[in-house]
Amino acid sequence: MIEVKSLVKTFDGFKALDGATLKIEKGSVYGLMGPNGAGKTTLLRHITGVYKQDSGEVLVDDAKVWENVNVKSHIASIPDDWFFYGQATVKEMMQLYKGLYPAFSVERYNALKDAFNIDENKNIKYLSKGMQKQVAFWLALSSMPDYMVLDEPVDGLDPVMRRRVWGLMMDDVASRGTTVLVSSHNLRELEDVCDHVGIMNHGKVILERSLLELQDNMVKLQVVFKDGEEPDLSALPILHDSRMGRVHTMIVRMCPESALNAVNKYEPIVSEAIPLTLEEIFIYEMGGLDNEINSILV
Amino acid sequence: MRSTASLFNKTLFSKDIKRLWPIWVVFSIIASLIGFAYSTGIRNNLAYYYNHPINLDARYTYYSIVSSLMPISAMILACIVTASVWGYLYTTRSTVFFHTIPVSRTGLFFTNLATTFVITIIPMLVAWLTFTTATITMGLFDPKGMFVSLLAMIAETLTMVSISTLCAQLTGRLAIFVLLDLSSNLFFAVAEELFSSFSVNFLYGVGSTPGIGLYVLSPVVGLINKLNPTNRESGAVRLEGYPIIVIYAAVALVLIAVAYLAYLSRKSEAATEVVAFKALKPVLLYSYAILGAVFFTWFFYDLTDNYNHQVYDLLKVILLMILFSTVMYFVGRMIIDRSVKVLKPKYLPGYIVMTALLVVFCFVMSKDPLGYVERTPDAEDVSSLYVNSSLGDIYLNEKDLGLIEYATDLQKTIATEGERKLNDELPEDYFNFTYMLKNGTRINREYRLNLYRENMNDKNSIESKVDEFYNLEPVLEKKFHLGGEFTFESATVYVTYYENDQFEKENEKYLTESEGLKLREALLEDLQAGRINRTDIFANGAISSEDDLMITIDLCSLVDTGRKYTRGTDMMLNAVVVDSGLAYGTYTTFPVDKSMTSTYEFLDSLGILQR
Repeated sequence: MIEVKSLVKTFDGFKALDGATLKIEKGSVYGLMGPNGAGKTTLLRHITGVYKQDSGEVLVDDAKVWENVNVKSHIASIPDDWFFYGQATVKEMMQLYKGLYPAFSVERYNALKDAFNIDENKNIKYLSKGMQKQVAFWLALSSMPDYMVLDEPVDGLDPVMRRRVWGLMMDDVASRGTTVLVSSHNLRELEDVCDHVGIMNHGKVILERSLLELQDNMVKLQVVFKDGEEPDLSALPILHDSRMGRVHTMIVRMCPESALNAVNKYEPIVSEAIPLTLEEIFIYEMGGLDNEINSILV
Repeated sequence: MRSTASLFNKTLFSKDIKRLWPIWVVFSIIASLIGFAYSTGIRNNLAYYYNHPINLDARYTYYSIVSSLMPISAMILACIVTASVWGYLYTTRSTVFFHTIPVSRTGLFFTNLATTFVITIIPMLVAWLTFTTATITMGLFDPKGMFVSLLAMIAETLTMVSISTLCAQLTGRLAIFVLLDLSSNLFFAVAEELFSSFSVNFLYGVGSTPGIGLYVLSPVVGLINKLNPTNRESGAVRLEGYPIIVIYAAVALVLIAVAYLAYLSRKSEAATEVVAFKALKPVLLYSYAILGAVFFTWFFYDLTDNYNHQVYDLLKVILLMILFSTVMYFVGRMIIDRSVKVLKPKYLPGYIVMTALLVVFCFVMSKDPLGYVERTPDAEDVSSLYVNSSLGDIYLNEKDLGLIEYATDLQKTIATEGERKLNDELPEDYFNFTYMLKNGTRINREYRLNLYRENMNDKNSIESKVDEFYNLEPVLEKKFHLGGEFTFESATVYVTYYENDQFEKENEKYLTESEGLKLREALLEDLQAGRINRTDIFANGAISSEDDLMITIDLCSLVDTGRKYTRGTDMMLNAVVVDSGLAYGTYTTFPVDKSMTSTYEFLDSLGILQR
């Protein structure tokens, strides 16, 4: 389990993290979202032991991460700009990872050769950016980590490779209980893989829920009432209401069943509950709080 | 959960050794070539010295390598290796990687330190091995010299590596690291030399003296000065006592400890910052701004000086100082802030204080508050005095108390009268006085002035005292190196022929040791017989021509200061005096005319006076 408690980090007077708190259960896939400058990368760098916090705590399996070699040996990290030695081949970087990560599995590395289909004797710097990212995943997955911390991980990968990489990670989650923390701007992609999401803004984690909980707590209703009838729905927790002809479209903060029951009391001609996408949930949940949130909803 | 690393990580170590092979292989090849070149030089020199018997001291040959070759080589190599090993600190991408992997900062530090040391010392060992092998094959086997020089080489390499390692922690930029590392090795020596050279220009006659204290803080200069067996100025340390090795090794360990603490407290986000620790920003800014301001003021003053004055024009130097203080301060700010927008109100107080202090420094120096200009040592306190002037070089030791009093009085007269503006149309004379006091202090005074014949009427004038001093018989004796303290080293006779007052040709002859001894005898005869003319102090050292022939002798002798000294050989097997300061060579140049019959006849007997 990853626990971040009231984390504060200041760079030259700027508070990049201002009391960030989150909790990631073991075996979950946690999506971290937020606008540019929200503090996502800074938070991830604390979780991987790169930065030392000004205050607060970062715990992995109840142990502090900072300068904790034992904890770090179970965390594989893929930053947005992955490092490799200028002259190194894939095989040479594999040797390095093998020496550094005690659980590194050469069998897994060999098994993944087919999945990535990259010549391991090729100098990494001559590979395309997307292929370099594949090498990063190849080595990270071969390290057999308990935790994977990924910062914009699939940027530069083609759709087929994205699906393949996520598939491999989901296999690890299912088979080994690997915990994945992923920071991304791509909500549609996160929706497919995450079971928990957190959203950051101004150095704080302002919302943290399971995807199920979010989807169960908000619903889109499309309702058509009888001619001339305009029932008073102000008692309902409506976040958004629009009307096109006789069709009312409402976003209601209720579970779908309760919402339908509530409108059906007015005997509409048509009433339908439609599940919200992750993108829509965040638009309606957060849009009113902070306009900046909209910038992450692509 | 299993621990993968503590103090040392084998994987990172071997990775770096492998990936940095071009550095240690190329430098090892260069080192072995240098060893080969030395061995060739030794062969050539041995061939020469077999014909000229000399006390070949293998030990000093070995010590030469740790004084001449090692310090600068180790400094450059340590800088390159450290930049390669610690280079990850200078980009965010690599810093993130190295601080994410399961190796503690302690593990990273000591692994990197070991890597840097090993890669740096490999070429050093190759150089030492090649050199040692070469000298052994020449029959210069000295186990103690070999062992001590090996230890010294290890200590030197460790020192250079420790300095580089510390510098690597202090910045987040590769270029700044290189500048910082190279200047750290030389900073204090350069600063001391610069301030000394700059300051003495305010004080008439006060000459700059070689650094004493701060040189030690500039390891390369310190090592060269302190270890060099041929150094005659500061006194070479005999390596047999091991103190220099222990001191440098101890300093290295302290620097490593500081570097370790710096790495532990260094933030990963310091990558790309000019200065990794905020507290060091003002230290670096003001150090380099002040040094730069002083250097450029000194340099530009010198560039625009007409040399008719020997002390600074205060107004001019202050204006230059304000100009360069402004430039250096704000350039420094630009570098540290990585921005050209540095004209901010918050930076003005620092700039004003720094500039004001530099101006006050110039003003105070010009007033000579400590009375340096007119200060002369008591003759009783003087261990030796070397008077180097256009009228001849005179070496005096503590046995010559009376002559020292004469010379000191002359120096005081020159200093008290103050600067005479130099007249380009008149011959210029120089008088340099170098005192070595019994307490080890070295005092240097240098004057340039025109001598005026009309001042001879005044017995207390500079001219009268110069004339009196240079025509004392004991002074003449010393001028010709005839005292018992002089040992003949070499002499060259120059004979210039004229045809109808036009230069025709010049011959020169290098005298052998036996010829040199005969020359001394002839000179002594002439002196005792009163056949040497009075020194004409207004001739400005010019050599009087004798009809169509002019003879000049350059004589070099070793001066025995009365204390024990030994002779050794340097790396190229040149004869050197060991334990410097106890004995040194001195030169004199003097004309010979036909009135010096014994000397003239001796030179004639050599056949060099015939056309």
